[in-house]
Amino acid sequence: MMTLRILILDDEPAIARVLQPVLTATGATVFCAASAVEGLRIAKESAANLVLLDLGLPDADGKDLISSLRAQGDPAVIVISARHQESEKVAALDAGADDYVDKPFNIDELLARIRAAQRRLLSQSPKADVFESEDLVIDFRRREVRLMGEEIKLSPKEFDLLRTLAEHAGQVVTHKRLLLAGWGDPTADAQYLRSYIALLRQKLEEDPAEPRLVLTEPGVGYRLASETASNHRSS
Amino acid sequence: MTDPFASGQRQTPPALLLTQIANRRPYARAAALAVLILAVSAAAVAQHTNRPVTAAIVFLLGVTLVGALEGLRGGLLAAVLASIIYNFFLSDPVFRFSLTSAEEYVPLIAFNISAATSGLLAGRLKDRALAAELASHRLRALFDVSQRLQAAVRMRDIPEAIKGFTAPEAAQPEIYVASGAAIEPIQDAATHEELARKLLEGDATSMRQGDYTGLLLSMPAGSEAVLVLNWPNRLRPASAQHDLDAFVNLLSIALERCLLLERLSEAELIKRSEEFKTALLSSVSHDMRTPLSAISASASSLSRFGAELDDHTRRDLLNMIQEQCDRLNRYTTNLLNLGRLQAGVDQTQFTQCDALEVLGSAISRTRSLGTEHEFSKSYEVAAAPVRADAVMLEQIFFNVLENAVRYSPARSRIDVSAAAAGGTLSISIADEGEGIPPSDLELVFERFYRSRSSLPQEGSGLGLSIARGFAQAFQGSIEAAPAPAPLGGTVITIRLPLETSSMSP
Repeated sequence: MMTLRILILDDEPAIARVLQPVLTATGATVFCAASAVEGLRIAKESAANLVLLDLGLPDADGKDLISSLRAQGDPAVIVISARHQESEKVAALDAGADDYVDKPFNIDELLARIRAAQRRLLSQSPKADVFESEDLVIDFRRREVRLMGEEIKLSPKEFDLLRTLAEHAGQVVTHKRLLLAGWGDPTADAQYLRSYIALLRQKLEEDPAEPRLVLTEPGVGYRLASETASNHRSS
Repeated sequence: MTDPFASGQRQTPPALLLTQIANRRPYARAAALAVLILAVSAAAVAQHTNRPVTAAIVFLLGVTLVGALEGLRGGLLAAVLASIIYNFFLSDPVFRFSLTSAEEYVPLIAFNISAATSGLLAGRLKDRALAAELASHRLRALFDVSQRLQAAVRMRDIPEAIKGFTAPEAAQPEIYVASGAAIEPIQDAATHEELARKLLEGDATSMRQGDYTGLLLSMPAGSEAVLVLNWPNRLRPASAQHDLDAFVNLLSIALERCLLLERLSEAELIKRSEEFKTALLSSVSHDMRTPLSAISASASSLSRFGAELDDHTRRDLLNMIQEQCDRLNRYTTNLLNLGRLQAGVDQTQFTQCDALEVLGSAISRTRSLGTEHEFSKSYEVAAAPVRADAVMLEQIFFNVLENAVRYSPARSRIDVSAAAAGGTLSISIADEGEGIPPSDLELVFERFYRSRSSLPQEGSGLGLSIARGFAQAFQGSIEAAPAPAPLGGTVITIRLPLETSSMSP
């Protein structure tokens, strides 16, 4: 696997102090910055491929920073924010963030998000043909879906939605992006999306009322669990 | 608190709209009558001493004077009277109107015309002068009341502004404002609520009841108002009606403005309370979740990677948990103090305490945060008795010290000095930090204010606002200023009144 070069961009010294040794222990190279100006400089110098970004930086709006970061090196961006306003998260994701973690988080949750982002970094260049997780196998080219070895019949729209989720497995996908994938229109009624997600769950989930594969991120979007065992959301 | 709307000085009441100019008339009338009698007597004497020309001239003079004193009507009356008296009593033959020859005709007609003309002219002049005086008085009174009304910003300023304008002290106009079903008088007296209610319920725009008139005032949508004033018809000339209309317009405008201002300030209050709630929520969100994140991440890392982490890192993570718990505790204390300030501080619980002793304890508490700052103390007084709550007092000092520590470089110096002058204790805490922009020196005491500097920060923006709230509760003050050289950061000075009697409990 590629080496992760992680930039922790947070004005809270406490967060950096915890994350730096722990992420280093997992094998990543870790850099820290406490302001947007410093962060942009270090991201460039260090060629960071993943940025853990706090949205409440003193000298810039985190959302504006995302496009600047993307413009200069295209790292994956995981937003760490104490802001629980869903609109903030959606705005950050629309601005190009890959995912987010809510404060307070535990380390497993963060590491799972980092792994998901890492997978996407790896799969970025040659488009993968097959998605494989513990129970779920998706053959993108043949439009085939197998759950625990058993083939599942999906309608074209259901398949498009599942494919979009699988392409970002482990990461949140906003309503807007799913609507674009399924209906070609990001402003389409989210009610359609809910109905199709419900259909998808009927076919994939053991208990559709308590999904373990297609997870809801209230107010933001959906997430396909990539590590079924460890991906229970803690709140 | 000072009331920003309170008027600076008491003003004299406005001029009465309708000065009783008529009051001057009995005296003028008596004078006119006296002049007329005098003229008749003088003319009679002149006639009898065979000086008819003198008699005529004296008569003319009398008529002119009466006109000047009494105005047009008086002047004409005097002229007619003069003609009759002259013809009948004075000109030969006495006691009858006799016109025997053309020679007698001419002087008589000339006299009559002269008398009438001079009476007319003098009277008109007098009337004009009176009218001008009256008009100028009315204008002055209206101008005066309009200025008073313009200065009114609250409903309850209005009765004071119009006091004495339409009637002397005893019978003041009353104003009733209705919103919805409730009718509220804006002045203390409410003797004509009945009339106001009838007018508000009916369709008419004005209504009379005895000597009182009720008038509907034009108001913004959703409100209605009625003016009830003592306005007996018999006393009022027609011009007064115009003045009343003008007055009612001025009053409506003032009432409307006051009403809108009141609505605006209510809206402003709601807005500010909303802003406060938003700031509080965002503060809670940031200041509780950040330390919680550090704690959660440290604890979960220890439990997950405990074996893989080196000793130093493990210790650091454990220390971090402790520090962040302290920080959460401090934040909670500040939040509780904020609540305490909002509920109002109970001053009866204050006791005498030594501010320097409390300051010492606050410095130790600040040191225990693990800071490497150097605290340099210089006290000009040995003891500083103040009336305060010791715990709250320590919180003031601690919050200011913590702030100084947070916004200045590690291992820099913090000067703590104490001095007393004129019964006031001043405690100054100066740091070597970046300082506060001059425009923000007052803002730092606002709740949830945070410096815009790029320094890493963990402040909640509550510390200094609580320090100010507490200092004010102790009748003291707190302010920030640029620290003098060589420190160059910020100096925050806390001033508290010293207890004069050292025998207090």
